[in-house]
Formats: sequence, structure tokens, C-alpha cells
Amino acid sequence: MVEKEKARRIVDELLVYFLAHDIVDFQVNVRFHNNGFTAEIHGLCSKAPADMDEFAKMLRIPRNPNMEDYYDELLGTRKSHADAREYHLLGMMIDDAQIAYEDSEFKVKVSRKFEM
Amino acid sequence: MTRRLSNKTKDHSHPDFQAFLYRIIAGYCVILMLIGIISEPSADLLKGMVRIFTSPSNLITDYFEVGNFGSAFLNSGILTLASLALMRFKNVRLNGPMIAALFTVSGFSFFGKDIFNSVPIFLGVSIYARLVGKPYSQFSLAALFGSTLSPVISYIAFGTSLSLPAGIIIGYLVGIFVGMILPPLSSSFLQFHHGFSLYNVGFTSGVIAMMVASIMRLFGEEIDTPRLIAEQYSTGAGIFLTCLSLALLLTGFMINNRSPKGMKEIVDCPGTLVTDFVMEAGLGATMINMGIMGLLMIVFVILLGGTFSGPIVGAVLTVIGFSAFGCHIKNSLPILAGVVLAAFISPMDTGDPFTLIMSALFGSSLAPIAGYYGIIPGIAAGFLHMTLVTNVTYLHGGLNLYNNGFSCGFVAACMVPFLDMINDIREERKNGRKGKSSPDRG
Repeated sequence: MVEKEKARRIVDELLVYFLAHDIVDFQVNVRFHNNGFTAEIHGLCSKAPADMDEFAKMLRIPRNPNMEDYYDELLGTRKSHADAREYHLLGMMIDDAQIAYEDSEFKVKVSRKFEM
Repeated sequence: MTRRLSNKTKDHSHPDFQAFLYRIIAGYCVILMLIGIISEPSADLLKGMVRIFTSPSNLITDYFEVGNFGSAFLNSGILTLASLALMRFKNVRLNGPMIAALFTVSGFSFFGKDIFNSVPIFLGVSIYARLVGKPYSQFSLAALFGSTLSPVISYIAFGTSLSLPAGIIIGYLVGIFVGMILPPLSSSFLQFHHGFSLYNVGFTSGVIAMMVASIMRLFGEEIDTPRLIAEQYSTGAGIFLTCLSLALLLTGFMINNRSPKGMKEIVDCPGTLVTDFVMEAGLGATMINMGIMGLLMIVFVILLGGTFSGPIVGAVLTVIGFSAFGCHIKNSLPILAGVVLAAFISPMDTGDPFTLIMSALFGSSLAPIAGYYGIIPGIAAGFLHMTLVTNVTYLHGGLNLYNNGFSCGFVAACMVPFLDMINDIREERKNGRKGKSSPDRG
């Protein structure tokens, strides 16, 4: 149950990023497996988000289990303003992130292993 | 155009890095203890420690005044070292938030925290971790910050009409209970201020302490709020803070290969929770930022004619700590300006600048508002904090040491939705001008 809730919050936070960048035609795919889950969002946009590199940098922050239980209530609760640039917490809660912009499609795929 | 970005960066959990960080903070604790030991004859030191341990410790109890200069430093060194040892034992990875928490423990050990009244909180958090079947390390932040409620234990033990054994037992039981409820509550209360008050546990603890104080008052126990402030040790304490800030600045500069690299990343951060400067910009830049903020706070205290009493030393150390976790010169100055503005345009007596300085220094909890929304909202946040902070102490009877954190939670909760609304309107107008359809539009 806890991990399902965390998955929901992670997807919420990713949606905040998409909506903040006016990407309003997108698909979300979440898949749970034995030891974790993967969330993938891809949507159409005419050009890559200007802060894509910065976003990627924040997602690449190493996972930190010591922080997530304390701060995870913040995930997905922020307003989706275009200049919002705080995704450190999201980075701390995932084990892997892949971001790509190809053929007018922006794609983010994150995965998280269940808590040890 | 095709761009792909992936892979996690190297983290700072490397054993060498962690050992180095643990050693630096342990060294700081040893220095605190040495200052304490060499400042007082051993008999006076011992008597001072006993007086500190047996003090009710609610706000404002300056341990320089209750004990003496040496015992306050020794108390800070012992409690910070014990906290660090607990973190090491529990395999906690040190980072920006942990540095903030340890410096906060160190700072508040000059006016309210000691090992006697902090242990029950740590125990309560430990029991909670066992109950939910998770490692203690996941709640280490709540445990360290949670010792803000340690006066609850000391006050019940030494400040009420209960006999000493009954007071200690009841105080410890209440402390353990408080420690057990703190982690889930502090996490939940984050939503109240949307992560715009850095001293989140201060708000949570304020609510808990308000309930404890209400229960005590219901049973006829009036809570005295002392005002014990020592000004006679100001020079020594000021020299200590200056040396510490300079040491942080120079050590950071050396670690950073004698460059200010990473400082731009720090000052460009809004500072909202959760921004770990060690992760964002590296340890060297973080230490430089801590040193700069320490010096800035020292200058601020001197300019306003303040003295370095125990609480003000604690406030400066807390800001230094939070300069690894959200505070920097760009987002903190507007808050300081707002607090000073409120004090000087109101009929408030600024002849005794203690309240003003404490409110300004701890008002840095609201630095993310200035960092995220801009200078004017930051000044407004400082202004509102100054108006509110003097009115909330009665609610918890000084049993919550992070009184300013309590006030800042309310300020952030009131301001953030309003500022978001302004941003929404601006964005709507911008989208309207560009002819875009907004997904937010109903």
C-alpha cells in the first residue's frame, strides 16, 4: 500500500512538470513488478522543454531513503507554474531516470525499487 | 532534434566522503567541549552542568545564565557528539539536511536542549520506527529536529509541583509519546505550508506543545515563561562564532580547489524543501555558503546592537546549519529586511533588540518564499513573521523551542496560496497574450 501511494505521488510530480510546460497531450503508463515499479510519461510538444537539462540533473540526484519518508508528502502538491524548478525530492525517491526528446515527443521514464 | 539524458549521478554515500564529513562534525563537537572545559574550573563546570540538566528549560532559558559559559559549550558539544554518534551507529548518510539538523541541535543546546531532555524524544522516534518496521535512519531527521520539544520533559520534571521522581517518570513518558507521534505528524504538516517553511518540525512541534500546554493548564498548572538571558559572555561567544564562520569559509574554499565554484548554483536555488546544497553544489561550496551566512548574521547582530547571548548564538548556529539546506544570502536578506522594517515602523521598543534579532535570524525559515516568489514577497513574509511571532509563544508556553518555526509555518501557509494565485493570474494573462489555451482554465 505504501509503495502504491509513493507511485501515485511520483506520477503526480511528473504530471506537474508536464503541465507546467504546457504539454497537455500525454499518456501515462505505470507498471508494478516483483521488486518495484516503472512509470513512463510521454507527450507531444513542439520543442524540448527549455529546462530539460536542469530537470534531468534533479532526477539524477541519488536516491536517499533517509529523506523520503519525511518529505514525501510534498510530492505532487506544488502548483504547476512554468518556472517551478524544484524536483530534487522526486530525484531522491527514484532509482533510475531516462529523459528523451525525439520526434516532437517528450518522454520521461522513472523506476523505483521497493524499499529494502 | 534528439536528446537523451539518463543515469543517476554519483552520490555522496561513498564511505570516504561520509567518513570525512563525520570527522569534520566530530571535530566541531570536540572543539565545543574543549572551549567548555578550558573556560571554567572543573567544579564550576560540573555545577553549571547540573543546573542545566535540572532547569525547566522552556523559552527563554539561556544556558549561559543558568549554568555558565563553559557548561553551555560543554553541553552543546556533548549533545551534538551524542547525536552524531547515534547517526553513525544507525548508518545515517550525512547530507545537507543532516548538517542542518546537527547544527540546530548544537545551537539549541545553548538554550533548551540537553542530553537529559533529548533522550526520550530519540527513544520515542526509535519505538515508532520499530512499530512501522522501518530503519531508524529514515526518521533520524525527525528525531534530531524533534528535540525542540525537550522542554516538555524538563518542565514536567523540574518546573511543576510534581515530586522529582514522579516528574522525571511522567516527563520521560510524555517525551517518549511525543517522539512517537512526531514523525507522522511532521511529515503530514508539510502540506500546511507547502514546504515553504524550512523549520517544519518547529511548526509541528508548536502544535504538539500547544496541546501539552493546554492539558497542563486544564489541570491547573500555570506555565511560567522565564526570560533568562546572559549578556556578559557576548565577546567570547562572538569570537567563537566569527572563528567558526571563517573556518567554514576557508575550509570550504580549500575543499573547493580554492574557487567559489558551485556558489552560483546555491544562490540560484529558491531553497524550498527539499534542497540539499551538498548534493546540488558540493561540500566545498556548501561550507563557503555556511561561512558567509554565519558572518552575515554576526554583522547583522552587531549592527542592531545585539549581544551574543545563548539564544542568539543558537540562532546563528541554526542559520549556519540551514545554509546547507535552503538558506543563502539572496533568499535570506529580504526576510531580515522585512523583520527589521516591521520592528522600526511599529511602536515596538527596539531599545532591546533581542526579540527583533531572534525573529530575524530564525525568520530565515521563510527564505524559500523570497527565493521562489521574489524579494517583495520575501520582505512581506519577514514583516508578517515579526508581527506574528511575539503572539504565539503563549499558545505553547515556551515548551516548543522552535517558536519562530511555529510562527513561520502560519506565515507560509497564509502567503503561499495567495502568491500562487497571483502567479496563476500572471500566467493566465501571459497565455492569453500568446493566444495559448491554458489547461488550468475551468
